[in-house]
Amino acid sequence: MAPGDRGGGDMEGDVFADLSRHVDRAFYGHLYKDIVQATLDPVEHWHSHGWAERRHPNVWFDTGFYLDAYPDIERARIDPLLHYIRHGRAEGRLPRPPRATRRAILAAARPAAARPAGYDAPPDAPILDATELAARLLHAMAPAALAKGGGRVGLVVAASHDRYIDITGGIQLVLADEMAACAAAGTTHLHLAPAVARMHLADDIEPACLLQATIDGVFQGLAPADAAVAAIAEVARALPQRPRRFVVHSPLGHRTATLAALAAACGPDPVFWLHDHTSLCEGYNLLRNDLDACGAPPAESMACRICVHGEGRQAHRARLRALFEAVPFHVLAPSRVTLDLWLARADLPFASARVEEPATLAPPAADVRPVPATNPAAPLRTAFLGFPLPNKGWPLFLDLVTALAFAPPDDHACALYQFATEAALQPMDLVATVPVRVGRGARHAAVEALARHDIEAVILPSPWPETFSFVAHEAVAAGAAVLTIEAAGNIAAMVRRHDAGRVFETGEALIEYLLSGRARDEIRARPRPGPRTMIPGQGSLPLLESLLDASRP
Amino acid sequence: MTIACFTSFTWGYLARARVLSRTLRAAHPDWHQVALIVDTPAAGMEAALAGFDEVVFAAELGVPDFPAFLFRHTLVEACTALKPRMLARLLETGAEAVVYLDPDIAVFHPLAAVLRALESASIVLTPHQHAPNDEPQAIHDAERTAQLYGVFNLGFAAIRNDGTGRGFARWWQSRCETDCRDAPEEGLFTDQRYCDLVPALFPRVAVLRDPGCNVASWNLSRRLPVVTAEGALDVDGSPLAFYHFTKIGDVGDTMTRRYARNELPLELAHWWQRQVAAAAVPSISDRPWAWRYFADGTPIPPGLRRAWRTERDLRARFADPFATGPDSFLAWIVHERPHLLTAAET
Repeated sequence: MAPGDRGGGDMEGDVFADLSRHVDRAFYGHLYKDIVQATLDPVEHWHSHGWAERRHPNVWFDTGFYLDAYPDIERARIDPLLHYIRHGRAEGRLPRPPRATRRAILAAARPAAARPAGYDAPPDAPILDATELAARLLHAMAPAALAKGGGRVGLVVAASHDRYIDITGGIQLVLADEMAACAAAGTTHLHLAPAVARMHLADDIEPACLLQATIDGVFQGLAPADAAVAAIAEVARALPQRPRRFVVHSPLGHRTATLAALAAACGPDPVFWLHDHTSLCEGYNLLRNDLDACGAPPAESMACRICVHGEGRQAHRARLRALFEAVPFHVLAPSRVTLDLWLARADLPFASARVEEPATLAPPAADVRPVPATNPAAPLRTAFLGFPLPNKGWPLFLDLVTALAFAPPDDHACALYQFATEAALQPMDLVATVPVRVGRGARHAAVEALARHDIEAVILPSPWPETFSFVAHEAVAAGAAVLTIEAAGNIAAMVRRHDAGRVFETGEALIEYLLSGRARDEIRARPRPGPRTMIPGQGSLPLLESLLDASRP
Repeated sequence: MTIACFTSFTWGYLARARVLSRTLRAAHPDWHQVALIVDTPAAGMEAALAGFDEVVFAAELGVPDFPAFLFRHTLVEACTALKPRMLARLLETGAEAVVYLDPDIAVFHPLAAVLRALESASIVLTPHQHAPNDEPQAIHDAERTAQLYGVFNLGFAAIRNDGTGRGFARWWQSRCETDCRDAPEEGLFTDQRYCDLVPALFPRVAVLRDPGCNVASWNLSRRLPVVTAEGALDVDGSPLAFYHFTKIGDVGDTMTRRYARNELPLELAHWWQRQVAAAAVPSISDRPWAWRYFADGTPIPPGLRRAWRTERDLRARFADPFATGPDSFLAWIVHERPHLLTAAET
């Protein structure tokens, strides 16, 4: 487009102006790569061809729905978005099916066993037999013992659902911290994940799957489950004075019989983490039909009967009960609310249960951060942080985008940002996207990025009882106010504990708070908290060491 | 109270009926469940029907001139026309009360409100609408439709085995076996419109307005199902006893989406469709209705059934209208009124 050209091709100026406000160029270009490749203007393409091809012009207008629901528009062969913004909206027509997002989530809801499995193991990974795995473990343990005088725990064997060294997520961060703490203490860390990542327990009658073995953060290869058990037994024979301990960070994808055998091979004081609600239900987010927080009602309740996760819940719980009866776990919860829910609903035997926060916030460096020179009427810089998924509250953020699309730009009470990994960014004209990847080597990347963009509020409206939430801690560490909802579990609890934002009954109330300008005025009226350092935890190691010390004469 | 509960269906609705049977058994394990199958018997269905205590085929009901009776009815008309006769038969066998439930109903919590009503009433019916609507679209969809198709939904009825109950059964049977048609423009809708008269014709009629009974897309504008903290299903303060999945998978979906004020009715429909799919018996669930065809497999269009129903001399001339061959009704039609064979039956 030439400088000064307002664009629009053959379109009348007012048509182009009206459409320009609602055809989301960033969204359109991200969704339709052919438009970008052909260097077409999205507004022109939409008006000339896009709607007839039933493409979507933005996140809130469902072209197919509008044309199907209103045959008069389809018959008239007119741009349906232009019709909606000029007439349809005032006539009470709908731009998409009512409650479309929730209904789409329900339609897609599947039992965990019906979801496609992920294949994690590298195709060229070597197969390790018991002798080879034992040799590698003994090799790892020897220098640690020599250099550090030997950790009080010799070997931690940790099981979870995927290979933590390659994935960004809460469980993986705790495992990385646990491994780092072990390395510092002279303790060797063996991690075992199923070769095939699945979000349900493996059937005990099917052949045992291979396990991906990672020692001290370095992937070694694939070991059959019985080889892993035999290797740990061999370590016990070779180094009987070096205690071994077993930790379950997630049982998903594993056979419970394998977990019990690994626990038996490791010795006393096994640990089970409540990073999610897997021990209560196969639907580990506790969302009935992936929609609403269910609170883990009795498995025979009607709520479970009508839920996609209810059908498998009794069998899932029976397997877990057998595991907990065979293995006297010490239960570690990342938060008080998680532990309270588990104690109220799990009905499983355990040796002990306590809270171990995966990270803590240091006190603010200073009481008050100098308030940047901000025009008090300027929009509140408001971010969504984390995976753009329904179970993180992303649909509510899209509702916010939609509401802003119909407000005059001068009246916008908030300016929107999305912080996520590059691949997870969802470009939209009204949202500034910021790529950020948190990992073992960049634990503070999100905190730094939020601070760099001077984000004042982060919205985290997870619809399920989050057990910890690193992103909520990152937001508070960056000095932002966290806006969340009651259903969000530990996010709501930590907002209250740190007086770090507001908790709303509903997502609608949260949106209203932002749109009305009250969020902007109230958040800016308070002294801005200074940045805080997020201190990573040490995983299971502190508990394992204290139990070991307590058991020694 | 000893209760017999029956449903009426063809093989095509077997999966739905099995879901009804299983969910009813969970709520009322002691009720005597009866399947009335308005179709011809099929081999190897014992396991599929094991949830029922008794299976009765339509031909066993002793309907006079049974082939002629069947020929005047479409599938839905036949299934409904035989309900009163089945009701009368179960009353004769001595059950203290008989409950009818449509095969596209599922039971969630015990039918306590029904049992309470039967303590003082002889006839218990559920109205399509139990509270006034105020939106024009809802008034049309809910109230105007009820005026055309019947005040009460006869997907449910509970009848006490007393003089009034038996008198109702005789009256209903007489009306349905005389004229059980889908003709709302004539003030008829199978077995249902007749029952508009019931509160006037019979004493001790309970109009069960309990919001947990017979919840369906057609009353969601005035009923709000929710899940309680303990995982029970509740409708405006009453347990959800039974939900009627009318035309789910078809126009019922549109009505459900239009009137559901939360996602729970859609969750129920999603669940029910999964259950029905799991309860399907592939060898028979797709089998067409036995009496959809002449004996040689020629489909019977509705216009032909209409001619048979309205022309007394045809009925006098052909004893078995399904028969084919020389001197059959079909041969006569082919010769005299071939145009009636062109429209396929729906």
